[in-house]
Amino acid sequence: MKESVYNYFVPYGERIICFNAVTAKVFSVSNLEYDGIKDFLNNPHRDFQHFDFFEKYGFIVGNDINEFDQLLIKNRSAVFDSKFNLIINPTLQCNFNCWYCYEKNINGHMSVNTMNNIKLLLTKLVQEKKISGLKLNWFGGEPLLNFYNVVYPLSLFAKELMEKNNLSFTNSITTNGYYIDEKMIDHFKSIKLFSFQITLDGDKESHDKIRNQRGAPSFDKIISNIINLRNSIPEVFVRLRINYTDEIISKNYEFILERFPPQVRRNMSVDFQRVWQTIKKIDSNKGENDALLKAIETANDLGYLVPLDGFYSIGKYNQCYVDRFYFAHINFDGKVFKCTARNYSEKYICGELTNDGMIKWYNQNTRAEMHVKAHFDNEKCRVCKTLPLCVGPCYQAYLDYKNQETDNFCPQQFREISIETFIINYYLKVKSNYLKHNG
Amino acid sequence: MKTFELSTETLNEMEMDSIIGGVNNADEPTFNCFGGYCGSSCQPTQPTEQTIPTLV
Repeated sequence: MKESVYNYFVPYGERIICFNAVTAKVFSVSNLEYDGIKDFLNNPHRDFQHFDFFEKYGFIVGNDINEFDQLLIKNRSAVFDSKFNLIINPTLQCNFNCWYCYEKNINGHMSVNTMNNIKLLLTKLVQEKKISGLKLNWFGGEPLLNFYNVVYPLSLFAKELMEKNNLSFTNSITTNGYYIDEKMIDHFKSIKLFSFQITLDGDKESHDKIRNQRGAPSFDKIISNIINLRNSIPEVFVRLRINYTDEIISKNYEFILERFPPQVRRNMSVDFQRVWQTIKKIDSNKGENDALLKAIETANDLGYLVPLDGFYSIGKYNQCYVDRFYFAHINFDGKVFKCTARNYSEKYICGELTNDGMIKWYNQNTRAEMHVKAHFDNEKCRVCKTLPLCVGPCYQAYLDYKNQETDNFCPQQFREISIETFIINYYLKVKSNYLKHNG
Repeated sequence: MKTFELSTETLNEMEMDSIIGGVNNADEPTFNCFGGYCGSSCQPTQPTEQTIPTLV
């Protein structure tokens, strides 16, 4: 046996946190115990009474095991998962005009013909047994502008098709939340639309300046709509997205997040994401965004589910849904895209929906190249200890790199929280969970 | 190898369950990027003419 290359040891007070990035097992030891454990890891042997524990949780692995290859296998399995992830833009129009939005508010709505082609596509995929389920997601523009004529009928069709064929079905939406009302909520139930991503841009003052309908404020209305939604459908999950700049992340999040009653928070997560125009490269050894850490801590203390930090993840093996082979992003005009974080210009069109219910991919070679191996299967990621937590570049970042539009695909160049802080926070979260159930 | 015993505190912590998938789940349908950057490593490649507005 040998020591895993993905072990971390992080000093925390008078103890040392031991963490394996593949299994996410974490615990702390005293300095004296640490010396003994390091000694064992340098020369693992079965005499040590906790040998099985260290093997089970990946701190030691067989001499013949290549841990990178193990991650590759898991990546392949995740990328070729046969649940079809379909993102649809009913329109690119929006009732807001946020300064940072990369979309151009292009006029147009999905036609009946395009809707029929989507129905044909789904029917064929099911009939030909190519998919094991459907993850439907609505995006835009503001998708609820076309709720009754696009989102509802297409969702109902897809749900019934999947149910009839005993295939899984989930339905979710990224919306600004402005148009959610009682009538719509009733309709959400019948199409199983239970997962929402809704954005607040900081406090009322900053939010209303950014997200308004021709000047009319939206902060109070959106909060009220979320509360009604959560109270009406208990299984609804809301990811509260907070897009931040340096100024917005410094707001008082206790005051903002307390607007939601405790029972409403239970099925809500808060996801802080930096507005892309304000990204800066940081010194990865020193980078520590204290305001972000404070905001995360506040959300956590108030009972929200909070990603510890978007730069790291545990237990996932592909970076983004776009990495997956069974994925398509269909625009209102029937054009097919991949990345949801680029505009909808000609440059990013990957294919089109045809009248016989097929997706005609324009560049089969690129499509093959981008899926034939993991995006982290490169020299840099191969020797990076952070790999299990980072999973390397996403589809679009890697494609940009291959097209020589960027010279660095490493996601870690922009991280705002150090890996040591991430591990400490993760340890504290795991410990808190444990004490809650065993305290 | 040095002989050593693990304390009760350490043995208890070794029982703690990991939180797999409790961080970012890229497979979650609503985990959408925004503006070319989402913590999932996308990075903008297009220059923007937009500037950050002053909020106050």
